[in-house]
Amino acid sequence: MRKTYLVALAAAGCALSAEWPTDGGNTRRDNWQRDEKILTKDNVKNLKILWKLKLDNVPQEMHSLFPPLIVDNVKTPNGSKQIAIEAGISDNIYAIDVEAGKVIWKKHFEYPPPARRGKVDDPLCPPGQTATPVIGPPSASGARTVYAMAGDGQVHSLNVADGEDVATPFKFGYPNGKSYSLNLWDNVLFTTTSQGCAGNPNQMWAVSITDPEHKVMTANPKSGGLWGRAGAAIDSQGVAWAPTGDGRYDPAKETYGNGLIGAKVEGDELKIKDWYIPSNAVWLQKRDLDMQVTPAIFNYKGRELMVTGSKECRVYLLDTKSAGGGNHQSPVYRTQLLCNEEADFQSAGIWGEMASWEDAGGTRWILTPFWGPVHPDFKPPVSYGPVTHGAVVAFKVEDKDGRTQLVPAWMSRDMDQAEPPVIANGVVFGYGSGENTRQAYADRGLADKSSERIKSSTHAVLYALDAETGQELYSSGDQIQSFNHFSGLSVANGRVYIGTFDSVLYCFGLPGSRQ
Amino acid sequence: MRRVAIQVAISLAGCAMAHAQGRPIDWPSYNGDAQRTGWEKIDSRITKDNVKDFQLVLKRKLDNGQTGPYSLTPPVMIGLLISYRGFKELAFVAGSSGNMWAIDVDTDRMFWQKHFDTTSRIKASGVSGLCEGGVTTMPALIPPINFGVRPRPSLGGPGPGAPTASGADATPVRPTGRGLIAAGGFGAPRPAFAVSSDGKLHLMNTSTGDDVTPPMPFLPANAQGSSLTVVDRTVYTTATDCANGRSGVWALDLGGPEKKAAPVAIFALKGGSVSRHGGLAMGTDGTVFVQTGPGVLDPASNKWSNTLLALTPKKLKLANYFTAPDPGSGAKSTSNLNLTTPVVFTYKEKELVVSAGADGRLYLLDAKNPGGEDHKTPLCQTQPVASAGAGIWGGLSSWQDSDGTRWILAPVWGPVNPELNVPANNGTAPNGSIVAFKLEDRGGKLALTPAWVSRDIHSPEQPVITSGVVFALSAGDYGNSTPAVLYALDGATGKEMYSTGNQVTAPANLTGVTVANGRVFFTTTDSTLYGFGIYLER
Repeated sequence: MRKTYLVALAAAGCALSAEWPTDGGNTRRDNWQRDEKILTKDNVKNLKILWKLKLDNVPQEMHSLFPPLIVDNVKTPNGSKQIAIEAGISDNIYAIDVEAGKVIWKKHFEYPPPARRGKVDDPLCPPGQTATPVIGPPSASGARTVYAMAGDGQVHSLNVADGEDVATPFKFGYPNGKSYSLNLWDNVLFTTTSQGCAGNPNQMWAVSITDPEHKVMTANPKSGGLWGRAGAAIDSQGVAWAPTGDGRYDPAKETYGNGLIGAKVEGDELKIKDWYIPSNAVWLQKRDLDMQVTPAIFNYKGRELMVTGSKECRVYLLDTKSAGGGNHQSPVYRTQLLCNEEADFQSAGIWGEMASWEDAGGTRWILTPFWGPVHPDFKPPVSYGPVTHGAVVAFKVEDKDGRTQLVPAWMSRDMDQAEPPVIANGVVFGYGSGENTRQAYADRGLADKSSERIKSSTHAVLYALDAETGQELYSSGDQIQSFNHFSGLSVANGRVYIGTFDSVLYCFGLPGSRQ
Repeated sequence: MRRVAIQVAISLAGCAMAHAQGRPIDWPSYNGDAQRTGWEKIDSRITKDNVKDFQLVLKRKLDNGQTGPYSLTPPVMIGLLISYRGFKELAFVAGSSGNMWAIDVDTDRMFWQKHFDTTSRIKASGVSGLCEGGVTTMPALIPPINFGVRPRPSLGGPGPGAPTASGADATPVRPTGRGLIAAGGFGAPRPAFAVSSDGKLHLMNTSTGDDVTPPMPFLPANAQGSSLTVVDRTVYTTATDCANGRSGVWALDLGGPEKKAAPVAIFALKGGSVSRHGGLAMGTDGTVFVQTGPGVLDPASNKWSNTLLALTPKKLKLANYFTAPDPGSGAKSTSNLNLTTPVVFTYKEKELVVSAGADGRLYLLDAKNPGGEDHKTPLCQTQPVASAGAGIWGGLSSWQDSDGTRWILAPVWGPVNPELNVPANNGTAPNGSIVAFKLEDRGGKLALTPAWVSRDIHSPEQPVITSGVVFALSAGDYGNSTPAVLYALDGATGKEMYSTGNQVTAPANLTGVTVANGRVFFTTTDSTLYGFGIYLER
């Protein structure tokens, strides 16, 4: 896919620049911005808010803005632009000129109210557009199409330049079904669903954008939900990998709860081809420590590997050729517990996505965020603790003692609910969301209410860290006014983007420089 | 959190669950339910095949501060508490020091502990020899209302309009919260109940141990209670008042509309003691069944010895009774043998009670009319179960196998009566054993037929059953410091399937056995909580 981009861009005579066309940066969800040239370890200390844009998106439950998608050299009526496509929960798509920090166009998806929606005040099932869209590769003419799924499950194909439909919308998802980030591989759109929102089955979904019938293909692991933040990550063979959330494991009944499934389109069907289930899956189920982290896929010494995690707070290293080995329960490597000594289902553990990058020396790095206090037995060689609210941990992938291992390298400073990081040019951008993630209380038991969590959330803080040492290079302090929930970062061409609950999109960058 | 609900739904929908992934199970009171059956019906984690693989999974010494013949209560269990610190399986144990502990049994970590700071602790008068003080009454929990499908009344207690033994309508089930006890429901707070040595009832938050209401007067100070049972928002127990040695039944209705407790209801026994263990058993209509021991029998003056009393729910008015034949002077000891907690169960849509008389026989009774018109006629009776000088200890248990056969289990201290003619023996059992009976319908005539006698088990406590496996705890010998041993027996034959051997290092006097979620728990006199069960990889 990436090669396709480059070829197309070159053919269009465009200058090569960094893009962020999908959640996690690419189909493999590695959150590595390879093409960043402007931001460096030396200058990120000078980051400032270049602009912030208050959008008219109305938050639903705790959701608001999703990570913006960035494409460059988009030919608009007003010239070539670098554009951020920002999706909002209330069925809004905004195209923003990132140089000017102004909205070029806005699209609001209209549809009759679906028959069902999640319970009001329940953070789990907001109505509306919940999937981060995806931007396809340039056409022969250089035009870009963004694929966005509205809250009624219809996929809209919009011209990034002007927001006009370039194809008839087609049915893909489930109305108010809380689909997760779209991914696009070989003209097939993927998404995942979870939590049974509005009666939605919890499964992986795929549809070919070139199929005139747009047949919807599904693979159902019969679990509590595939709620990896960035949906599915897709390997080099087109296998889409997604965590399955809570649930039982009973392979005889094709039931794959608390694991990671890999599904592939064959003909016009999406079939589960492989899976990994931790050997302690029963424990994970018992304590609601489910596998729910979108994996990051990468190459290492001729192998294609991936990492994922769980609320239990371990990182799993898996081989895409045989995740879990013959018994589906033997990872290449499993770390010790990084956090969550309490075995808590909320406010602790690894949530969201992983990240991976390779430095100039060929060292492969893995990054994971986690929530809550560090586990007392986890003692990385470099630490900027004390860590009580969350942190980012870096591992090196190394061959030691005859096996490939994840070797702890550093642990960042404390971050209030550390979210999935992004790596760009040797800098790790991470953030604490400031979200109140508590779902249960001593006096009331389980009382997961959006209104209360919103009220007691604080604000996000963006950090830049030295990717090799974890040392803090920059902090946004209290410049960001609000928190965010299930959002993320985007980085491209000297800018770092983060959206917040109050529907403000922040753009951090280096002042005074032409980005 | 919807994912949790979905998962719960998935789990509940699964009929053929993998053994390790069953539904969370509670053990909310002594012997598991208000009927005191000791039967955990749905623990699919334990099977006859895997019980041989039991391991020591928990051994926690608690800072009880004192040891003695009575130390810790057996634990009551919450299989799943969605707490502010995560999903927990908790064991609640109280001790003679006045402490209470909530222990995360998966991780062997203390979840909370508290001390009941009472000032009215009185020196025992020595009337019973068992007035140790501290928390002596086994705590209780309320099973969750909307979680799981336990075939027991939970808060609801009597079904709507169901007649009680007295013929009066029982209090209708009200699924919504009222009184001092919240409605419950999925993920909702759930109270734990305990009685401190000053006799006050504490209603505690299971997540913190904090009192959620001011402690309420319930029992006399330093009374020696048996076990708490909570049915239909009413707390029940039996106790002996150490100030005068008198026993009785106490009930406190917390379900009043004004969120305050009703006056304490007491059925005072003027003669005749009650079992220290479960104390009472309850019918599904809320009737309270209490077996009294030796003493004076004079119904006209409300003196009830050697009698199974049936009392009305909440008010504890005498509804009916069955008096077993006078065993003669030889049985009028104070050893508490043959003074047992009865067991209640349903057989062919009829609710029945089995209790032991002071003569050492088991009596099968119709729960609606125990003893018939003359209050002396059981449905059937057995031979004396134990030999002379020996007897049944603590309480009876009951379960039903997959073929529909109803079993009654009796823990016997000392040798079994050879005239019982039990068809299957598992070796000589001079020190004690579990004796199993089948309930048989012989042309409309019910009979308790001896089926098997277990191996020798020294001083067995009341057994518990799950998945066709009987767990019997040899209490050992406190006087000789003989340690306890837990046995697993085949419920159909009594054959030994597992033994803890010498892994337990102290006796387990005056306790009971708890089974939940693939593990069996008990406490010992050195203030240690033990758990044996199926290993769960973490």
